[in-house]
Amino acid sequence: MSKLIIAPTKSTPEIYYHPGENTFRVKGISTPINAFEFYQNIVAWMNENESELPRSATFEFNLPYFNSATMKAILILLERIKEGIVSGNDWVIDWFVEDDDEFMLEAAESFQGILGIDIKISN
Amino acid sequence: MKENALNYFGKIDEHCIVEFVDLLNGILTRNLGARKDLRKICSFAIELLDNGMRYSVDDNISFSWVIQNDHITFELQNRAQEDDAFRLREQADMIKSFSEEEKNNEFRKVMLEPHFGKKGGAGLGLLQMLRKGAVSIDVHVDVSALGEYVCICKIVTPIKKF
Repeated sequence: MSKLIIAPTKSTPEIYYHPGENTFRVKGISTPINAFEFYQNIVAWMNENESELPRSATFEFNLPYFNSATMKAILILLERIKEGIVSGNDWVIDWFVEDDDEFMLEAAESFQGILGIDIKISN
Repeated sequence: MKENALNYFGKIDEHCIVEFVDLLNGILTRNLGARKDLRKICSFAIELLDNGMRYSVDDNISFSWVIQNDHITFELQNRAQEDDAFRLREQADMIKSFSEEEKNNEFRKVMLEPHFGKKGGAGLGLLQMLRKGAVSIDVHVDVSALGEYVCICKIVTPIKKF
C-alpha cells in the first residue's frame, strides 16, 4: 500500500498517511479554488487502496480556516469515511478545535448533524 | 471616525485570500483580544473574497473592511458576468427572507447536492454568513457606462460581547 503525502501550500492543507501509523491527517488552511478536485484525490486514493486500508484508524482534521467549497468537499470525504465505518471498520474521526473556537466547533457539529456520525472533538 | 479600516484594490487569488485573513485575524486579536469568534468573523472575509476570486472577470477586486463600535462591515466589488452578478443578487435576496429553519434546511440541501457550481464554488458562502450571524447582506449590481456589470456585496456582522 502506498503512502499518501501531499505537502501543504499557502491555501491547501497537508495530507498525510503512512502505512503502519494508522492515522490520516488533514492539517492546515484550506481555501483552494478547486476544493472538490483537491479532496476528491483523497477519496480516490481510499477507493484505490480499499482492500489495504487499516481496520482501525484515526482520521484527524485540523483546519483553522476553510472556504465553503472546502466544507462541501470535506463532507464528501467524511461520507467516504462513514462508508468504511458502516462496513465494520473501527475508524475514528478526530476534529481539532483550538481555544473553543466557534468556527471550528460549529463545522464539526454541522458535519455530525448532516451525516449522523460521531466526531470526536479535540483541543 | 472609523476605528479600524482597510481598503484594497487589486488582484485576487487563493494565496491573497490567506494573506488578508492573516492580517484581519492579527488586527482583530490586537484590538479585541482573544475571542471564540475570531475565525468566524474572518470566515466572512474568506467567503466574500472567494466569491470575488471566482467571479471577477478580470481577477481584480475592491475589498474593504471597517471595524467600528460593535460591528464590522465588509464590502467587495468586482466586475462580473451579467448572469453571475444577477444570480448572486437573487440568491442574497432569497436567503435574506429565510427563517432560521429555512436557512438550516437550505444549508443541508446544498451540502448534500452532489455537484459543485460551474465555477467550482459550493454556493454556500452567503448562506453560511447568514447562518453564522451576519445581520445584513446586501448585493447590488451596477451597470457602468461601458456596459460592464459591477457586483457590490456588503456584509455587516456584530462583534459579540463575551
